[in-house]
Amino acid sequence: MSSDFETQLKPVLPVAYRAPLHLARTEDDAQDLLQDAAIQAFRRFETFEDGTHFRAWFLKILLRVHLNKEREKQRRPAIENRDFEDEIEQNFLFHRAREAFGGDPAKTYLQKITAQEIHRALAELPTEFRACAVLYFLEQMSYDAIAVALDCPINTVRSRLHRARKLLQRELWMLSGNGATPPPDAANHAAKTRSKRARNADFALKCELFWLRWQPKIEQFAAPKLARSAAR
Amino acid sequence: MKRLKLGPLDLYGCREALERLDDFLDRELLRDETKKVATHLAICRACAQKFRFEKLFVEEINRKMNAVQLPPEIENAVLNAIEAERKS
Repeated sequence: MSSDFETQLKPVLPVAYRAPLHLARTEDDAQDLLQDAAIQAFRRFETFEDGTHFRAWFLKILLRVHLNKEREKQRRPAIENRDFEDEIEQNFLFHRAREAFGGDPAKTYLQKITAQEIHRALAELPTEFRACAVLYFLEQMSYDAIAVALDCPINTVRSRLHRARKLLQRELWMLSGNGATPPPDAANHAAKTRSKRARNADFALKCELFWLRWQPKIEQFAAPKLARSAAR
Repeated sequence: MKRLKLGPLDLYGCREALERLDDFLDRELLRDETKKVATHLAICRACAQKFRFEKLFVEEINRKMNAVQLPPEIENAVLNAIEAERKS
């Protein structure tokens, strides 16, 4: 039975190691977490049902161990109720990267982010947000699966993930801001070199968006007048 | 005077589309909402660029998080801990 456990664990370890590495704040903590989770899993191996997904079962134990450890530490106060929405704008990183580098930030900025920066940014997130973020970004789990793994409602997952993304973007920007200095006057240069054709296209797009946005109101306002003039 | 034909137009504006950005990328929207967001993205280059950035952001984070390798000494430490647990 116990050797079965090691047979199941060994192939999962390389992948399972990544979750604690990003959940814990230091590499030593990550090793402790992985080790504690492995021991817990070993003790409870009789509850594992043959034919089910060992990695998912192990990950659930690992998360429980992690959350228990974090609760014990209570390094940070619960900030679930703090309103991050007002603090960080939507598409925070997109706007910052575009201002700094010009052009398409997906091409100019994203590839500059390093694994080390991601790890440090994740370490800054509050515990519950970090757990959600790791399951989402690393394991690519759905909202449903995260809710089951963390034993919380799906709407809680949705709101935590929404905030975790924003916080992660802000942390990443703060971390990479010094290392990735934009070229001098990059934004102005980009603005000056934009062709007249591109500016015209932008203007046309803005007009189109204006119409799409205000069309219902205009319709609401204009319809009675049009009906009256048609009746005359 | 040329009359404007004003038919009902059931589309999202930029604000409505951006409010649904996360759910759209994670395929958590209802079919109707998904269609409206997709329609908006087809006509709004600015929003399409933002959505593409957020999608690539998730992909880039996933790629870099998965690049981490398990050091052999940690694997050994875990297996030794289990061995010790078995003996205890």
